[in-house]
This record gives sequence, C-alpha cells and structure tokens, in this order.
Amino acid sequence: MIIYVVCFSLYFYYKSSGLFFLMLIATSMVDWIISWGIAKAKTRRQALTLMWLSIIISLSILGYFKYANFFLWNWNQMVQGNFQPLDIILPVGISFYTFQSISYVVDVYKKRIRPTGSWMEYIFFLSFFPALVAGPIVRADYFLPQLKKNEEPTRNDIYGGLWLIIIGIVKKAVIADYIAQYNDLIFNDPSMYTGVQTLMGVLGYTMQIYCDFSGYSDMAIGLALLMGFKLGINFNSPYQSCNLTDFWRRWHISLSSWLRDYVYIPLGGNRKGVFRTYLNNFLTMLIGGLWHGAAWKFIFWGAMHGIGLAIHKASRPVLDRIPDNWATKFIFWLMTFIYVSLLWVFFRAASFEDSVLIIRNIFVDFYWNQIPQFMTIRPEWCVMMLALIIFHFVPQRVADRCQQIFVISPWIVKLAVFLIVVQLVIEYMSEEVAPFIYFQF
Amino acid sequence: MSRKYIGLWLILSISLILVLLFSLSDIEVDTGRGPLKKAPFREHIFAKKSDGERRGKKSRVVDMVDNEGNPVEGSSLAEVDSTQHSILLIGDSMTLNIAYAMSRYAKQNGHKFHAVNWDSSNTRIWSASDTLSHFIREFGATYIFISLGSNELYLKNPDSRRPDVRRILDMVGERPYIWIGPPNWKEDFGINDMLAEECRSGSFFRSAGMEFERKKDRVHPTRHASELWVDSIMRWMPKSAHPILANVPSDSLGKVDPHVTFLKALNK
Repeated sequence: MIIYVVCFSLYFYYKSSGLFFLMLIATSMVDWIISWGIAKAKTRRQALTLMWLSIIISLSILGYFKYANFFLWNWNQMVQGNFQPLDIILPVGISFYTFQSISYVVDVYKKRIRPTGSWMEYIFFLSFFPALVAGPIVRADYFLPQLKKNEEPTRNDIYGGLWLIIIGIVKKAVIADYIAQYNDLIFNDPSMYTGVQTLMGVLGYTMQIYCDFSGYSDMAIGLALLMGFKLGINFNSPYQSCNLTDFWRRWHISLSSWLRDYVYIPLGGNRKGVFRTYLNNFLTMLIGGLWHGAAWKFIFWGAMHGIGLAIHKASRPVLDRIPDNWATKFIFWLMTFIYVSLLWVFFRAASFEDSVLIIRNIFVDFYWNQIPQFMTIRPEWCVMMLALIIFHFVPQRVADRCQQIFVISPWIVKLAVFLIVVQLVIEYMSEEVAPFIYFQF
Repeated sequence: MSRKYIGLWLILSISLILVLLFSLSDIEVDTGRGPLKKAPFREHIFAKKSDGERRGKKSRVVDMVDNEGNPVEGSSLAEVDSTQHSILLIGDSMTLNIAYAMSRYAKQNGHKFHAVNWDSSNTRIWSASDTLSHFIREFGATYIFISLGSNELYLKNPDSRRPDVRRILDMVGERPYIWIGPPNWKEDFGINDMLAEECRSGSFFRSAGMEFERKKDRVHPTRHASELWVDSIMRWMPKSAHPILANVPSDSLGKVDPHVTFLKALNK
C-alpha cells in the first residue's frame, strides 16, 4: 500500500507542480538521512548541528522560492535599485511540507520520535497526497505511528470520511465559490461600492475564507480517513470564539499548534516574564503572517493578530472580573468577530490603500436603509450567508450526531445525499474553477 | 480491494453514471426556478460545427476581412451604408465607458444610440434571457454592438459557451453587428478565437493584444482608454462586414449623455 500511495502522491504533485516533485523527493532524502544522522550522533552538539543543517536547508529552499523576490524588491526599494524580479515559480504546498519536514527533524532531535525505518515511510508521510498541497500540517509523532500500525479502515472511517468529503465539497464548491463571486466584485474595485455593499463583501470574505479552507481540510481529512489515516481536526467553528486566543485555538489548528510548538515555545513561550511572553506571541504571529505570503499585507495581518493576542493576554486580569453571562459573551464575541473580519480585509485586498478604502467605506458611507435594498437585489447570497452563519453555530455534538446518522444510514440514503450534493455543485458551479485560497501558501 | 469499499465505489460510480446520463439526455427537470442544470459532459463530448460554417452562406453582407483582420480573397471593400441607424450597444461592465465614446460617434453621424450595461454579465446570462430581444424591439435596433467575453476570459473550456454565443447571434438575426472582443488583461483560453469563429466574417473586432490604460482594478480600461478603443473600432469600421457612417466626432459636439440602461449584476 505504501509504495502505491507514494507513487500516486508523487504523480499528484507532478500534475500540480511539474518537475518540482523531484525537489520533494530530494528534500525527503536529505531530511531522512539527516534524521538518521541525528539519531546516531555521538554528542548532543553533533545532533544539534545536524538539526540546524536540515532546518537551514529546508528554510533556504522555502526562502528562495517564496521570499526571494519579496526581499529583493524591498532591498531595491531601500537602495533605489533597478529591480528585475527573478523568474521563480512557487511550488504548490511548499510551505506545508517544509513545516512538516522541520517538525519531523526537530522531533527526532528532541527524541519524541525515532526516524522512520525506511525512506519510503518518510516520503509517504511527507508527500501524503490529501494533505500535500494545502494541509493540514501533519505531525510525524501523530501520523507515523498510524502508518506502523497499518490498521484497516473501519466502516465508520470510510463513511465518516465520505461525510467529511461531502461537507467539504458543500463548503468549498457550493458556498465559498458562490459567495466569492460577490466578494470579488467588492475587493477588485472597492471605490465603486457603498458602505453596505462593502460591509457585505467583507462579511462574505470572512465566511468565504473559512468555507474555502476548512472545506479543503474536511476533504483532505475525509480522504485520509477513507484510507484509515486520521489527520486530526483543523478547524473548530472558529467564529464562535469570544476572544483572539480562543480563535487561534480553533482556526487552522495544525498551523497554530505548529507555531506554538516550534516557534513560540522555543522562543521562550511564557517562561521568561510578561514582556517576553507578549513579544514571543507577537513574533510568532509575525512569522505566521509571513508564512501566508511574501507581502507586507500578510506581515501586517500577522502583526495585528500578535498585538490582539498580547492585548487579550494583558487584559485577562480585568476580563476575569467581568461577569460571565450571555450579554458579555455576546459583546466579546462581537468584538472578536469584528476584529478578525477587519483583519481579513488586509489579507484579501490588493493593496494597503484598498484595505483602508474598504474599511473607510464601511464606516463613512454606511446607510442602514440600503440594507433592505441589498437584500432585494441579492436574496440568494443573503440566504446563503444567513444559513452559513446559523450552521456555524450548530454545536459540535449536533454535527457529530449528523455524521453518525449518515454513517449508519442505509446505502441508498448515502447515495441520495451524495447525488444531491453533486447536483448542488452543478447548480452553483462557477465557470471559473476557483482554486483553493490556501494553495497559494 | 477490501469488501468494505464496495458500497463506497457503488455510490461514486452510480452517481457518475446518473450525472452523465442526465447530462446527455434531453430530459428537462423543472424545479420551479428553472430547469435543473446539467453537468457539461455534452459540450465536451460532442463538438459542433462552428457558427461561422453554419452562417457563412446565409450572410447577405459582403465579407471584407475575416475575423483576424485579413482580407478575404475575391472581395472588395463593402460600400458604406449611409443610412442612419438605431444602434444598440449591449454588454458587461465594459459597456458604460464604450457607450460614452460611442454615443459621440452616433450623434456626429446621425445615428440613434442606446446602450444596455449589465454588470458581471456574460454570454450565458444574455443567451439565457430575452433581454437582448427585448431591447432590440424596444429601441428598434438596426445595428448591434456586443461587448461580451470579458467575464469569460478565464474559461478553461470556452467551447462550452459556443451554444450561448449562437443563441445571442440568433437573437441578433440578420441585423448587422459587431462583436467587440474583450480587452484582455490576461491571457484567455481561447474565448477570442471561439468568438471569431462564431461571428460572421468582418463582424468581430479583436481587442486582445491592444494596450489599455486600466482603472485601479487593473481590469477595466479607463474612460480615456475606452475612447481610444472606440476610435480604433471606428477606424476599423470600413473594413467590417457592414460599414456604417463613423466619422470622427467634432469638438463642437459638446457633451453627449449616452442613453444607458443599467441592469443589476446577477451572480452567475
């Protein structure tokens, strides 16, 4: 099974990134050899050197492909040079598998895991196709033991996986792609729209990026489950969060936990005093922002999240004294949601000026009486957004129950559900097959 | 293969077969909001004759240039139709700025001019509605300009829009028309070629390859660029299949407010 899946994964990567699949093979070989070097190192210092060697190689490759032009451009801005961008194509999923390989080598160094017995097992882990191009970022200590156990998937796994794929398809191909068509109008030409229209576009993008990315994650997790592998949860209703710390525990969990374990804690975490805790938080989020893309807007987005997290942590003593009731919960939820949504504007807009214009439009050019008009013009969009918000607040136990009902339902019901979803996709299919937003990272 | 997967494979294969059969059949299932859409297998499987071939012999106008701008052998320049026309310009969000410039030409040359700007529209939207027929009737249009295709540049399979283009051209009927090709801001996947094939010879103005100053969205040509664009179309007019009076507007014409009907953008 391992060889078959590895071949398919590499073919899959070849179809999406061409000859870069050779780089993936080379990276995996280097990491695997180094990981054995670390395991067999006679001294701790030798192991440490090898670990850094692997990290530097991985980050250099990532840095060249993803950040070279960004740094060159900024350098040229500073020295007023004549910048010619390098002709670099970013291999799909490089940010994801680089982080996976770093975590593997670090875990071997920290003796959390043993290196895989064969290179084939390691490349299976690194190139596992469901998670290869857009995550989740799979951790070796979680994944490799499953590979060793080589357990057959159960009926629950297969139909649970199918359920997740169905949910993922609905989120991505029906909802995200549909609402994106309106959001794109707003973000492509923000000066053309009123405050109400812009606000709807911002709310739309807030839900779009969630549906897009969590939809992909659901499909990846579902696909892996079909083969009997568990990748872990990647999103947990993030917009239910009542504070930013909670948001990052629920949003892109595999990335935020990776950043926590391999950036925040090595930086000192909360062990070096209050100021360093905030600083570490800030730096971690800055790196998280930069991971999303080589642009100042992503750095700004990360920095603002870092500042938000620091403010939340700093104000905890005060917040803890506030009575915990529905009213306060609602206020905190609203504040968190607004903050997160406004930061998505910087994430999505083409430029900083556009982001400012969009936010300005919402606050300066907003007239309540335009809302009914908007709803009349775009009833379907509004209904979909409303349904999405309601579904987002469905408790996890209800969602789990739905999955269980699907798993135990008769075969014909499963077929009917699948067919309905396929037809929904056809009905809402936009002609442009919108790529997954996270493919670009 | 483990027997556990049989149910899953059955679900996937039966779904594929049903979707395929439904897309190839002529069965229409009305949902009350229109017929159920079909997966585009039919368009992929059956290639149809191009409208250029279908229409070529029926055309009553003399073909002067093909849709690449090359002269057609054995033909001479068509005589300029000096009658005053009722011009109708329809299309997507590119239409408005074209309308500003074109209305000046219309006024200068004694034509009536109406424009219908349907934001975010595409050939499918226009072909699926009777909007074009309605406005042709309402304005008594005798000459049509069509500016569609910009929202379809990204189509990986532009052939899927052939039937829509044909339906639009069927609505135009025997009236002379010019299809103004989209002002590409990125490479298309063949929409321009498909439009050129479907339109009568000398009735497609290829805008792709022209340089445009763009608005901030990097997509729409600016008002000034659209004026230059229309100038190019009008300079090309004598080579078109059915040239009409298109003298350059004089400066003394003053401000011309085009009659533009705006249709609200629909989600595709």
